[in-house]
Amino acid sequence: MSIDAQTLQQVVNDVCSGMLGLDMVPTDQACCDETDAVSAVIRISGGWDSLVQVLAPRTTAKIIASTMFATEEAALSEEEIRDAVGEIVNMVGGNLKGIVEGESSLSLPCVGNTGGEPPFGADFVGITVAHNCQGDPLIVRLLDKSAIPG
Amino acid sequence: MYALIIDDSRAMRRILRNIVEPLGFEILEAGNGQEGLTCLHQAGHVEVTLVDWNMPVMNGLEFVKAVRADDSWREMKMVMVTTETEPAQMARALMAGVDEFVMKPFTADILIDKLKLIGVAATGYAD
Repeated sequence: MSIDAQTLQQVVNDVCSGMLGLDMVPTDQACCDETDAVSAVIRISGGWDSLVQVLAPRTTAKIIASTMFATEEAALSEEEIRDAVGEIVNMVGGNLKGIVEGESSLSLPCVGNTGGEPPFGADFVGITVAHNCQGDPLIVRLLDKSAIPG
Repeated sequence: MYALIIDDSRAMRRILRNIVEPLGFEILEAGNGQEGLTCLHQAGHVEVTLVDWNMPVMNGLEFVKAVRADDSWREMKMVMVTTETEPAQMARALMAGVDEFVMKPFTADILIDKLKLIGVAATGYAD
């Protein structure tokens, strides 16, 4: 089974709304200021080879971290903000891996500031879903490498 | 009464702490399985360990195997809190000695129900 946009959107919603109680509204506006965003990427390899990226503008990343740490946004450290976004991609990637048939393994999340660099390259072809997370954008991209013609 | 939380994510450790601490546990935290083993040796008696699978240095499965190889910890319950949902992976962890699974994402009620099932949380809590 391959992952479609609806499935990806549902998984993101389960993580952010179901577990964290965040107000998540799907949107078609799959863009944000990537020059000041936190990007977390995780790789799934084995039976299914893919990359998942969670892209959270700093405002969204702080909302997520504040919820996870039950702490005021002003009191959050940079490490806590990155850790929170990393845990989101970990849960999204893990759940996607569970949906696809075959045994695969999950890497550790790689988290950093994007600085405007698209991690999948300018020729990215894959699925992108976007939500308004408490009113701020949260973007999730899936690159299914096995779907790329060799 | 101690509960040990092992996860490389500080955010996840905090989420778990906020659920488990009100049940009356003193919380110990570790960032990987190796640190978890050190915590166990220092604490003496630990009632329950909540352990992630996918971690650096020593992963959750390696931790579970190490604990179950040591008779000192045979009474301790272990719950794997993980994104691993593949039946083969779950079977591997159960064979290694995990008592229960909690799949991420989870809610507080799900975790508390699992702790009740293995007898480490008062059954009246959160009812």
